[in-house]
Amino acid sequence: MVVRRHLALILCLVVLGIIPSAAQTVIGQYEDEAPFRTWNILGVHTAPASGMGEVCFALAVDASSAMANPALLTSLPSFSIAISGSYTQSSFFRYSIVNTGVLYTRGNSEMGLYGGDFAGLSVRFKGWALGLSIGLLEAYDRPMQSPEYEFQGRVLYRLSLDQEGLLRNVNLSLARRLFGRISVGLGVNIVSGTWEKTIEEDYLYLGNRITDAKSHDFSGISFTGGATVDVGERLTVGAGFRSPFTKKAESQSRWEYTSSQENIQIVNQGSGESTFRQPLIIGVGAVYRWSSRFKTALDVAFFGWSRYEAETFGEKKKRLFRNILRVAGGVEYINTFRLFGEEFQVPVRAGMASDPQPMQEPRSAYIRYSSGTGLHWQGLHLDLSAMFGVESGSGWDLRTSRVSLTLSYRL
Amino acid sequence: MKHILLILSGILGIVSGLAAAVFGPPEIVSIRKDPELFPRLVDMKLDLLMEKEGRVYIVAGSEDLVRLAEAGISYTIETAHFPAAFPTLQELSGGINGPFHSYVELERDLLALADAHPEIAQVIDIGDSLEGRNLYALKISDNVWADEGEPGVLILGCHHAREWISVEVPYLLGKYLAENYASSAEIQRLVDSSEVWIVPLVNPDGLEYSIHFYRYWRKNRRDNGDGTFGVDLNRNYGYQWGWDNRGSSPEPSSEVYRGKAPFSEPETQALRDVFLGRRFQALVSYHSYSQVILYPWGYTIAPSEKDALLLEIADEMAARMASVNGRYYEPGRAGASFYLTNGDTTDWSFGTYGIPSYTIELPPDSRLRGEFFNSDRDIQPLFEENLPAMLYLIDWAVAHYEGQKKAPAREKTLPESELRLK
Repeated sequence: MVVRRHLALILCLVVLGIIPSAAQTVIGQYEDEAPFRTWNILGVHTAPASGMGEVCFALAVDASSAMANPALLTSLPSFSIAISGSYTQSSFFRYSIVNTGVLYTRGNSEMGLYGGDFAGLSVRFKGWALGLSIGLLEAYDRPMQSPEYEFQGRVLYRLSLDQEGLLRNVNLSLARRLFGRISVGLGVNIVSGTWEKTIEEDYLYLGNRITDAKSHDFSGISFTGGATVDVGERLTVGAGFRSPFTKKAESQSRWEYTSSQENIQIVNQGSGESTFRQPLIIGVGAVYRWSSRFKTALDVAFFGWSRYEAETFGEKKKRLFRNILRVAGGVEYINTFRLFGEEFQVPVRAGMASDPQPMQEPRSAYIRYSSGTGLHWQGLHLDLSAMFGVESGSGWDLRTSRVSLTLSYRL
Repeated sequence: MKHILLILSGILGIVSGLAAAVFGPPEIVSIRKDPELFPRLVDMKLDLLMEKEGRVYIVAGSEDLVRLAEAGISYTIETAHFPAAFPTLQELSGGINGPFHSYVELERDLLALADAHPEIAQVIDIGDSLEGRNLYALKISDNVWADEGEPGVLILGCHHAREWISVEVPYLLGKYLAENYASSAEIQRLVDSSEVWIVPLVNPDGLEYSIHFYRYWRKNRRDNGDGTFGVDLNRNYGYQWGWDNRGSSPEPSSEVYRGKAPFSEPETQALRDVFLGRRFQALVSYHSYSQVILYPWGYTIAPSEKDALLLEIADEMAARMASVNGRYYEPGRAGASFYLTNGDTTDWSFGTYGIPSYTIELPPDSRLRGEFFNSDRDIQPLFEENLPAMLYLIDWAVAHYEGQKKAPAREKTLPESELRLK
């Protein structure tokens, strides 16, 4: 019979669409590309916002607010600068080769990360406002595992699993106050980062080593936009969005077998492009100032994860994700006291958030409880927050916690 | 004037609509596979894509759809199930494991091979893995879409996920047969008088785990429910399954865990069912490593009643393989010369059907010389040295076939060169 030639690539794309794979090994939250702590990340939250449940669409705290709603820049002082650092701890049950058939743990593995995660400034002038910031958006670290097999005091075999990575976000935003009560803003986010995973096995009694190393170099651009409206003197409502975007990666893989006894090295290498389609995020929020000292804030954010796609080395990975709504709320009360003739302010904050994870199976969600305080003196602010999250649904009772410290100055 | 313009634009709109209908993008349609219907489809010179679950999938242009309708052949449009069927082409460059095939890459290449050689190559979906991946068989034979009752040889690869080279050798054999059919009288003779069935990837779930997670993974991806994963597919076949706990293990955590029951795994079920209604005369299951040719029995050190024959064939294969690159694959009874295995492929095919069955463990020969790792440069030489052995085995199967070949479903079309000679 006559064959109309079809390129093999069409066939590949055709077959890929025929039958979607049924259930695969259920990793749960921590697929290889999953961020530390939660999938649902919008910008970086410094201590003031973090202490109030990470509300971000209507509450202006510093330049970090522009990553969720650029319009908030017009609510900041004429000049502000902030730097922030945090310590984050999360627990993991199933990831990579852990509890998927190779390594087994009794209970969850814990890991903490710390470091500076935000620096930014904002400037406001004649109805315009500009914000520039850099933040640590995502981290991809996993608890390192390095079991050994020992016999009669001698280590015969060793395996090490190490995964780390991060994604930086540089944000440039511009906002404009209109008609006195409305503000609009737009921002661009440039992300870049790396991801690396290495598994090394040493058969010490043979002199063999096997190395499996994979890496991604990420890049991507997204846009944020938003608006705020001051409704009367006490209420501010805001809405913001982050555009969907694709995190692209140049990816490398390398397997290496080395036998020191036979002086042999065998290397298999591969490369390709990887893409991770990030979701559209839309949120609304409101802040109500009951008095000059007391305010409450509420946020609802939609993450469009059902359109998430992950493709590594040119091959689509199966990710069954669902859209989710994240709800957060918080309160702040500002105490004041005088010392040596100077007035100090001490804010006290509390918040809570519901943070469902996007995986269809298992269906899990975190409930996060946060609190915060600080010490403000004139334009100098030192803020501290603590957050604790409890997960349910996976059956593994995952936990996450975070302590943030932010130093800012505002004119 | 305005009315004329309106009429012209209307006509243009209608014409462009018609053009889109007549010259629209092709559709993928499925037709029920029917032995009586098949010759009509062949005569219509349709572009056959693949076969799955009793239906034949065809890439049909608009004209083809019209002809199907005129012929009264009912079809189902399946294009919606192929959402990426006709977009702008995207190169699949590189690949996570270099020149070794992943599941998606093998799928692509098998279908491309069948598409390029539709007269003699057919891809058949013989079942699904645990995680829902297709298990593909490449059938090489003349009149490939028909059942002619010819002797068959079944060649398998990658029961064990980490044995990447065991995908490549069977795949390259299929490629060689398809690509050399037209130019080699010897290949044509073998293909015309036999059915060569190649399943290069028995364990696609395990292979994907080996590529993306852990290189040394061996088993399939069965969740055993106790925190462990995987059944050793080469201990899951039904002949003397679970004979003892030396040749396999009842422990789910074991690398040689045999599963809860014989043929408990969909992958082995699919291979078992491939035998139904077919006349396989020989079987080879490729593995690595060790550089040996093993034959039954594996479950015991005792010889089978056909031991002499099995050794004779193995010796012949080993000699032919050694003549290529000088590498000698030591033949031997699996249980006596290698290690005890029960529930494996070759014990089952030999014990159930009495056919010569071989496990060929590809190089290297030592754990210190690479074990499950093969250099990219090894792929072609390893295939080339196995080729004469496989051709010999196919020839042996044809020569010793006692069945009767059935009449083909349609007249065999002579190659044009022979027509001219006549």
